Amino acid sequence: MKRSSTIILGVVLLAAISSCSDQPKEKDEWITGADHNGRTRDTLINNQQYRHYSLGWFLIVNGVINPGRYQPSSLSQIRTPGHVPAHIRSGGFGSTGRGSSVSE
Amino acid sequence: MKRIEITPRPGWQNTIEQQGFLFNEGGNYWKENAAYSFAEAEILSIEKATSEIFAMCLEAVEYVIKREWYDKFFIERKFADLIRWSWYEDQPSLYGRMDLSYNNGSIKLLEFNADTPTSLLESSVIQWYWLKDVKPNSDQFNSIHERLIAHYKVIRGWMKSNRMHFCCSEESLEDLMTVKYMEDAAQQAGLDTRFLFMSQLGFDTQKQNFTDDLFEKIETIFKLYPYEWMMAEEFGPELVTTREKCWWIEPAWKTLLSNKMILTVLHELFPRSPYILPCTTTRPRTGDFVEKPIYSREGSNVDIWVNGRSVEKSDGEYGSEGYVYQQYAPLPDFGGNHPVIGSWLIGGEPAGMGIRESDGLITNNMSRFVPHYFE
Repeated sequence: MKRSSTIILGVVLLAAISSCSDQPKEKDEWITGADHNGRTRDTLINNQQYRHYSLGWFLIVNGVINPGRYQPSSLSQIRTPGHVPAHIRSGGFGSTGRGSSVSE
Repeated sequence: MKRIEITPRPGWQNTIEQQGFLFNEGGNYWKENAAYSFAEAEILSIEKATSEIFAMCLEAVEYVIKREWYDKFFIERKFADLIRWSWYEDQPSLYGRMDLSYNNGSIKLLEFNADTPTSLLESSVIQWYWLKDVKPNSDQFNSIHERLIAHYKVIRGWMKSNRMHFCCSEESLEDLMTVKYMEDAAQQAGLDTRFLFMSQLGFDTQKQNFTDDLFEKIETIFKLYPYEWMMAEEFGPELVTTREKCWWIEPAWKTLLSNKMILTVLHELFPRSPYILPCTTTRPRTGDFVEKPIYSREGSNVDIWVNGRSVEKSDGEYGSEGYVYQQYAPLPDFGGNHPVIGSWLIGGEPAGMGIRESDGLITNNMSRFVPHYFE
């Protein structure tokens, strides 16, 4: 009644054993978004300037972009009049950690 | 229940690491130089108690919600609707761990780790492989892994898509491995999973929904992070505004059960239950009791009083909200080792147990995990 069948560890746990998940994350900071040659790919659509970076187009504000705060837009999105890039607030959870497990 | 000396497996440290156990505290947490042996009847009594206590816990939640005792539980009123809504929507729970004292056949609930329990991987996987290696002809109270997978499939029916996010704080390897194990089981159940840390969670102010680090909308998310912390942080109010867009596991009503105040409610409702210890908010003038902070983790700020004096006390940062006073139920003493039973529930059903033992009377983050078997 209590006996378990064989436990099979899946790819997630086995991967975690070798690398404890270190996903890259865009920081909430303003950057040029230039490539390693210092070049940028910009466009002007509907009186808004956008720069292509990583996953899509970002609104340019004073010559810089913030991929950690704004969601990237697709080309069709920025062609849509009135398009407003989504503003993502981040860092709103996770500040209470006390350097140890949350175990009750 | 007996404590049996056991010869550790050669190379056991490497063995458990290969099974995913990376937080062995320098070899001091997982211990296999001993094991606890049970008779089947004892296991059945623990299973029965776990089931009955959980039924009482559900009644206690209903009782608290109907009386709106949020102030009593030190929960801000603005989260009352969220808790009530999650309860009446019947949002399912995935898991929880009751800490039980098991002493000469007497079972007492010490507390219910209903929101963010850990010690899951060692209970589910590590001690199971130990059984197969060391006591292959014995049995173990352990169907945690299968029940997790089965319950994920039940939960899938509640989800808007097949995607489930998993998150925890980046500060604890133990928490990370616990969540990774949960994610692993979810994948085995056929769910599409994605992991991120709590600090990577975003909030789309235009669409009013939580997002992951790739800006994808989060609709179902398992978090190993206490509700009382979330509610006090910047995004806390968004738990309320997005309640119909984002389902958090555990559901919000579980925060009532992880709060030590629930122990007083259980005593009020079930004073004659053999499993429920007397517990009050006022300090007893006589008798042996344990002072526990309303919010506390890893056995911090606990004070045990016997014969009118404090016999053991733990440090910590908790207790600002106040304390409850629970009748003292001594853990059994096996040559200076004091085991507490961690009885697991998956989907509200008893699913297995893990045993942690301590030198002292308080089970804390210095305790040792010792495997068990029954015959």
